[in-house]
Amino acid sequence: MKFKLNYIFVLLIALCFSKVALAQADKVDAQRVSFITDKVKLTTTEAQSFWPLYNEYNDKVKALRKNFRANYGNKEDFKSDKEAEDFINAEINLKQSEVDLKKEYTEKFKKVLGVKKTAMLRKAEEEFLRILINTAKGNGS
Amino acid sequence: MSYRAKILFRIIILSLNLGLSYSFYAQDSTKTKTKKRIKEPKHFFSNTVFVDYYSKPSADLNKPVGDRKDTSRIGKQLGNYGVTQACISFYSPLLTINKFNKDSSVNSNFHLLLAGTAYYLQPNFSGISKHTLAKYGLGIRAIYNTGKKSIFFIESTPFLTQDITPGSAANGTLRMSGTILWSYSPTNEFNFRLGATKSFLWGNRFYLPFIGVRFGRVDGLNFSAQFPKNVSLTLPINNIFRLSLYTKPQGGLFNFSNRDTVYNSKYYRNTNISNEKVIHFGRYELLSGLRIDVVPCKWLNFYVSSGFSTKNGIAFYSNGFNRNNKVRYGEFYGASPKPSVYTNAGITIRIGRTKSYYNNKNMYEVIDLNNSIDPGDNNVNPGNGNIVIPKKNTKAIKSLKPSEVQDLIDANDF
Repeated sequence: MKFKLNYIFVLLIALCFSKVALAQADKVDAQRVSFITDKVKLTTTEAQSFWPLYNEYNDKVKALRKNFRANYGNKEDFKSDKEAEDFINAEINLKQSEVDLKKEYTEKFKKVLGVKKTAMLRKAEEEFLRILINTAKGNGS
Repeated sequence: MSYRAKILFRIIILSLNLGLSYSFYAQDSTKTKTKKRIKEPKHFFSNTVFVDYYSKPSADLNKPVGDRKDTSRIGKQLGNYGVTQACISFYSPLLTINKFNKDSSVNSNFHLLLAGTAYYLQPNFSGISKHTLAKYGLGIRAIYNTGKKSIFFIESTPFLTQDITPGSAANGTLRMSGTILWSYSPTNEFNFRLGATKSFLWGNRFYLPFIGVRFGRVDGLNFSAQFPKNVSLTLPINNIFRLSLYTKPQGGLFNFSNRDTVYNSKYYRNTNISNEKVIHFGRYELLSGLRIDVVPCKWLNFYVSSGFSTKNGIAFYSNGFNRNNKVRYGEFYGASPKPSVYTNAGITIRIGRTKSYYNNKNMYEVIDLNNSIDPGDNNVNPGNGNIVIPKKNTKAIKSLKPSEVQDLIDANDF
């Protein structure tokens, strides 16, 4: 019994560490939300309508990127022209889908926030991305 | 090999196993030609499992209730009373319908969840043999978020209580608990709940109104009074540590094998001639204490808690004694154990990806509502670890690897 409990304990610790590592991306997401809230200065009513929509948009973009990475993320070499063609098309499709989503949701954001605040949202996103990239670059070097 | 060395050896072996299996699958995935399809998460709730442990030391049974000639005999027979209990509960999303209205300004959603519990109680009476009482429940809960200010909640959990002490040969009794609620949040800082609940928390069958108010944001400092479930003052220190001062009832009504002949029908008029094999044990107590929740990530949180157990009550009921009694049971023996300290700890694990709900205040209310009413009427709260406490300081992002933000930024952004 004691033997089994040891294993369960070790497994739980391993699980916790793997989950904590995964949680970093989640924390970044949460901070982006705080950053946007600060910059765009949403009213309570605007926030109530905006965040569900914005979360849905992000889930869709993430799913697209995850799909691409799952299928082509590990590719370092292409065995045939067909495989290379496939990769190029998939990448273009990803970009196209991202633009389509951005267009679709920008229209929705405009209805909820108005044009000015939608533009401010884009600026805030850009600014946050810059912070993220600089942080990531700093660690990478 | 010492014990520590053995553990270290096992950790190394386990890590190697995990590493090898990961590299095996990673290698395998490059070979496969079929394209992977990663879908968006379907639900707002993840599969959640939570385990709770509670214990309090033995205390004297005083103030026996009843003037029957058998009361003192039972009191002497039982001796001191302490409690150890453990439960494992879960909920799992079955169906989520998420809708936006035409101009995308209102996001309503419906959630159907399967919920269950396995609960074990050991009332430690010093004078009689040890009993292990179990409760197994499986139920359904439905939550409808209108997307405006109202949320409707209904849950029903049928459960079986049984004395599972080896050799007790006791039959189980099927009971039903349930709650129906309307939650209304006119602002983010105020919420009230109205409804009704059928509960056994107070040691007997009760149909009670559910009245609750909360002052303060659900993701911030708040005071919440939810009758008959709990009263709490919650203070999130940061995203990882959350403190709460609380008072809540705890208890239930359980089948109890009569192998110690606690109930003896010869002392009571108008009852069965023979003793009953199964009687019912009801208990309640009011716990007042401090709880510290640690939330390292939204997939996991654990807590420790301690305080004083007061207003204790225990009672024994028999079917024979309650014949023709259609409402709650009348006890043939009751007592008030002395107050004592208690210890409580628990862990909550959430498995699987969910739809994002950052800053979605209505979803925060939905999640809080679901967490505050646990499956099986145990009044065990898994904690709001899946609600993110807002953080304003972006400088807090210190150690980032590009792989950790690859879904947020495009490779071309570098």
